[in-house]
Amino acid sequence: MKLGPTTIRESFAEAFGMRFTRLIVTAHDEHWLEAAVREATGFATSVIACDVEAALERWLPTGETPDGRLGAAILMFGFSTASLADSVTRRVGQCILTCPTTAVFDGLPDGTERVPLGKFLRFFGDGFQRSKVIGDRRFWRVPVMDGEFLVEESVGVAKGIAGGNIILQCINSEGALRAARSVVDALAPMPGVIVPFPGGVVRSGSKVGSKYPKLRASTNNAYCPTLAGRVPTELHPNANCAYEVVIDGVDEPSVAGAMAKAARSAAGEGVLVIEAGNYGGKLGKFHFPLIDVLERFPG
Amino acid sequence: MALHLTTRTHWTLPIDLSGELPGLLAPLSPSEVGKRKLLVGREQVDLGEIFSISGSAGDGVVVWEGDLSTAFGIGHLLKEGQVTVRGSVGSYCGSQMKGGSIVVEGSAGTSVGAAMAGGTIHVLGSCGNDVGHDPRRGVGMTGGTIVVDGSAGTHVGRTIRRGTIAVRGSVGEGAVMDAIAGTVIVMGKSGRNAGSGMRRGSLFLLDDAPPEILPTFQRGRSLKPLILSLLLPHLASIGFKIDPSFAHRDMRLYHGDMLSLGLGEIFSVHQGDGE
Repeated sequence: MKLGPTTIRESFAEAFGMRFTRLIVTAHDEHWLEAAVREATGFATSVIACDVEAALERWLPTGETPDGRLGAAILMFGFSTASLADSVTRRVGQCILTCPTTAVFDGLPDGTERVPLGKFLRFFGDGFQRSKVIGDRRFWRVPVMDGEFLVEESVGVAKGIAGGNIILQCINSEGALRAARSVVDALAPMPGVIVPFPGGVVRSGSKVGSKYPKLRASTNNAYCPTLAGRVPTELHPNANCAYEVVIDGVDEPSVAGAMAKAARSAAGEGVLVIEAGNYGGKLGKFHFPLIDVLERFPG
Repeated sequence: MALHLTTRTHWTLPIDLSGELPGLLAPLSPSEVGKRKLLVGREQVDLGEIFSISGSAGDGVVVWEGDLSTAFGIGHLLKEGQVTVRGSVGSYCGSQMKGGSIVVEGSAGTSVGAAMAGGTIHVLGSCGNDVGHDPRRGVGMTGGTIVVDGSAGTHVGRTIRRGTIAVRGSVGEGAVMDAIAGTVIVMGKSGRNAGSGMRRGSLFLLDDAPPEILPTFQRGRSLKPLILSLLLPHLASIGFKIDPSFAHRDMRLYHGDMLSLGLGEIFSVHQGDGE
């Protein structure tokens, strides 16, 4: 299949069932909101070594937040509800509670499960915390040095999918960076998906295992241009740079739609091949054939 | 179509309507509704003698019309459905209700929403004393929301444990007296002794006039109570709109009552004289 000059290689992304939650973070202004989001989603690229995969889902205007201030929706994905509960509390406690003017609300009130948030963080108030029940939702007001930290008692958790992806093979690094950024820009307004790696892009695509027994993952040598000619390669003969964009989403259509949009936005001059990465198909429950998703989600 | 019950004449004796709930009336025909017994004064009277009846409560909606200022207990123990009163009602409207909604298009007597646990009550007129409080049992609200477009009498939210009361007009003395927790918002003037004996809970005074704060409250600092930005949309959803800018105004905080647990708080938009 071709998208303009770019070849779409027949391949599939292998993705995994995860649990996710959505946090709504608000703050006094953009500066502090960005600071909170940046901290809360830091060190959250891959569950290979991070506790969660997390990133900004989208910025929220004042009319879409519970308290009428500027906000952001953050998605956090974890292996299990229990691990997610621990990580969310720690991240909010260390990265958002600490950030001036912020508040945190549940962005997934219809989630199939719930994990505590304010229920635990309230103890930081050392007995001076106050709760308010509004409708059927409980909020905690924790006294802090600039007033109060407002946080919802618990947040919803639902089943999501992590590991959708596309791999771009390009003639040179300049074109590869340009294509990768256009993918991230195209996915930014899409609800229900995040790209958790730095700037949304991965340069260190991995394979399962290593010659070193203790390593769970190691560099995907078949896509390393510096190893082409020395080891079997998957790179196009003229490709000298490859990038991967990993996509986590709230459900199967979100991930598939994002992969299709990503591939379309990347295709063009200098991008030789677009494909999807997998681990042989035996690890992940969800398979996203790239050509199939492009047909399901026409541009 | 809602069940409409319209008073045939003006009654001076108290009428007990505490058993006439939408759920009970829903399966009944108008003639069966008319045969239900009401306690009027000390006598039992057929409901049909007092009210003309039309429609059905099959959709969970009951509309009372006429002068019901001697009727007490409308919506008592209401769990679901909607009760509308096109006129004024007597005491204990919505007492101990757990869900559903009541709209009183006139005024209400004493103890509106007494000891209610859930649901909403919207009084378009004014209320008597003890909004949310049941003085017979000494019990306050444990949930739900009461909004009053007019004024309210004394002891609004007395012994409230959970839930929200909002009054657009003024309130008498002793608001949130002996409160255990909960939230009361007063947009008009508040009488003396507000917060007397309160253990926890919040009283928001949104009138620009200087409040009369008991000396057993300690003056705190100024802050923007962000929680108001969540409360105001909740109140607006049941027809009680407050200028959203209140959520972003600095308010003076008072802690008390120090003669009690002292974890209560009064927020006042009036900043006081400073320190």
